[in-house]
Amino acid sequence: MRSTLRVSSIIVLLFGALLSCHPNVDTVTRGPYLQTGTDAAITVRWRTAVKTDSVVRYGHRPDNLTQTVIVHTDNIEHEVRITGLKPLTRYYYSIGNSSKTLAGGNNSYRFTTSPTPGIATPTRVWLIGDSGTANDAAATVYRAYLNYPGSENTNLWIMLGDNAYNYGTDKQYQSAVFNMYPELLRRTPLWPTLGNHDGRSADSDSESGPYYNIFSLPRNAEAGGLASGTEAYYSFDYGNVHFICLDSYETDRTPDGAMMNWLKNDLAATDEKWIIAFWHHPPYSKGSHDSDAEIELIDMRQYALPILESYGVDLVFAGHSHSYERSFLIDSHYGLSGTFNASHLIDKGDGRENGNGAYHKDYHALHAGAVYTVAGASGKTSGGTLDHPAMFVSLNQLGSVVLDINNDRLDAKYLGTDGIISDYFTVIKGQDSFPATVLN
Amino acid sequence: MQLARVFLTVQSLCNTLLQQKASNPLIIGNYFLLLIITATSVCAHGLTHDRLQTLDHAIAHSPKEPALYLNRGRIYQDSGLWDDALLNYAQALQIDTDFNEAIYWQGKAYFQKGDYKKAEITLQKYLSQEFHAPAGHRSIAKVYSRLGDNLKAAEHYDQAINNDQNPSPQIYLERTRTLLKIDPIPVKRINSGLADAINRHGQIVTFLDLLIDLNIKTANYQEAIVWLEKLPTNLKNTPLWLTRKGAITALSGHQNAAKKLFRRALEDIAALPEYKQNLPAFVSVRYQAEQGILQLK
Repeated sequence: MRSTLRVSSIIVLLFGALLSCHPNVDTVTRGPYLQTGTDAAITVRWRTAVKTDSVVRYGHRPDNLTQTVIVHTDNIEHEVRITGLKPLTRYYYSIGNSSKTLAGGNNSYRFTTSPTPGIATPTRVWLIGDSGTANDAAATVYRAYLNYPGSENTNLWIMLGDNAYNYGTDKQYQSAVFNMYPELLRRTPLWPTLGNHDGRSADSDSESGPYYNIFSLPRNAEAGGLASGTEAYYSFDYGNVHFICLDSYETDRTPDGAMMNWLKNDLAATDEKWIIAFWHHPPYSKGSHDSDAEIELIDMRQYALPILESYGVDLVFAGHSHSYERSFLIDSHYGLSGTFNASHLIDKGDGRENGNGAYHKDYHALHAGAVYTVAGASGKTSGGTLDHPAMFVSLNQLGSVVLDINNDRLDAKYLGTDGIISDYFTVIKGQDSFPATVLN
Repeated sequence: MQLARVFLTVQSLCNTLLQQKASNPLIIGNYFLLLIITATSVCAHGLTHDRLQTLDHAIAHSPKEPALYLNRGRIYQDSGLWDDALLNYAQALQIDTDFNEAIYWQGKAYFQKGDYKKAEITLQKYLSQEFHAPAGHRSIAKVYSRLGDNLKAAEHYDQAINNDQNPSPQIYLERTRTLLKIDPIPVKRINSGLADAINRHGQIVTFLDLLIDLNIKTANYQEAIVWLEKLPTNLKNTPLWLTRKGAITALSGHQNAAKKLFRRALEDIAALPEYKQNLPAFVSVRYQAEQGILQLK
């Protein structure tokens, strides 16, 4: 009798264990997250425990999702492109399969489409770098931003590489990105760049590995700009801002390589007022990495910067060094830090309206200057000498960058984990003047 | 520094463990494993000096681990210290003569150092073991290109592309540039290679630029203009595009049409917002257009 009881207990336990191990059909294990948002389309991605078809329901009210997009193929990785949307319009959505809704249909599952390209629109961008630690430090940086005014309406979110330590594996992405930022992922399109740690498990030449599997990035100018033919480097437009993402790690960085050739043409083709570029390896840094010593940093400074500056780039963001370093308004410095001098300073002030004054990009000037920022302390700090002469401020402090762009004005802030702004600056571009008359 | 400290903390913890359980081989094994893992995981972190220091420690504790020498070599290579990198790869290969990854990086280091003959021999050795490795074929193609053997270089680019599931635009570009150096230019081969590239990646500017260059080089100016017209809409009719078209039109002997294009480029630059007109890129295009008109006069 006792042995029969024991056997039946074991069977019950085994059955229970089996049940608990069996993946639930109704489980969303990743996301949803938003990719390649434009004025007329957006991609919604998520992962489920078992294969199903993919359904996104959307509409103008969370309780009235009148439109549906269905992808009939069964998959655990779901990728649905919604098209035919109106510019600068808020939509609510839910995700699921043809038999049921799995998530969404409330206020937190929403997105706002981009404005019509070229139209100046107040724009909020959140930038984080080297955030992939999946620890309290990263969570604190995130919480500080969620508590910061305007975070509810973040239009764009940029990740500056090393998004998931230590090898950028799918599992590490789950911890460092998907479990870390669920609220923002479901409402703000994310635009990443590849860091060296992401590059350990991904290959830009073949666009393979977790980084390339996880993200759906433009390769055929789906979001503006010029088609690059690869997700490793790309551009996109948001209102009157042109964003450029370069691959500073795995792609050929030489001046006559495919990436730099694309960059020149992409810049020649854009009509947008603001140009903001980002990649992982900073052209100027004396943080945990030294831009005088490491080849990727030197290459990007020597090869990418002359092209970008010749087309009037306004801001450049990078990570890699786990610090915050922000330059003066500078131009034409492509050498080692020891060669930086007054001739490279377009404005040697702090760029603050309540200090030396905002940076004014003089539209008569041949070289109007750009501000270079290292923002690689969104997951940890790692010190360094922090004394690059191009930098106005260098901080060994956790945080993220908040950008607000409104027509001719751009405000950048470094937001610490305590919610305090440790650095800020403003860039102002003058109104367009009437074109000059040309005599033939 | 912080990472070095973390490493030292781990090391100190392990030392304590070792002192307590010095006779337990499992713990000793785990200790060295931990050292290697820590050293490997920090090799892409922090200042070069700190990363090297960490690896030096790991190598001192585990001198028979070839991966540590490879990692140290990679750090030197990233810093442009080819000889130091080569020394480390040689040490790795002394321990494990079949350590293919070290052979590959050794070949690349010889190439970067400018020792193309040794690069060729080393990469051939690598490819004899990794016959289908696209990266190996691409690296040796670059070596042959530097050695002036463009035919061999092109063959290896072919292999790199054929063995790669998704060859990048860059590889197609490198192969085409190599083929363009062969005399006579193998036009058919280039066209077919770029057709494959376009089929895979679309009509991106990099490939169209190559087709334009090819047709200019072979004095096939009308065809060059056909490809120029296929550039993306947002690039077409920009001052840069008009100037380029003007230059090709001039080469084809249509002087008045060329002049018109250069003038249009100048007008378009003048119509740009003032902040754009003065940008170095547009100043340069303006100069090219002005020079184009002057030369035609």
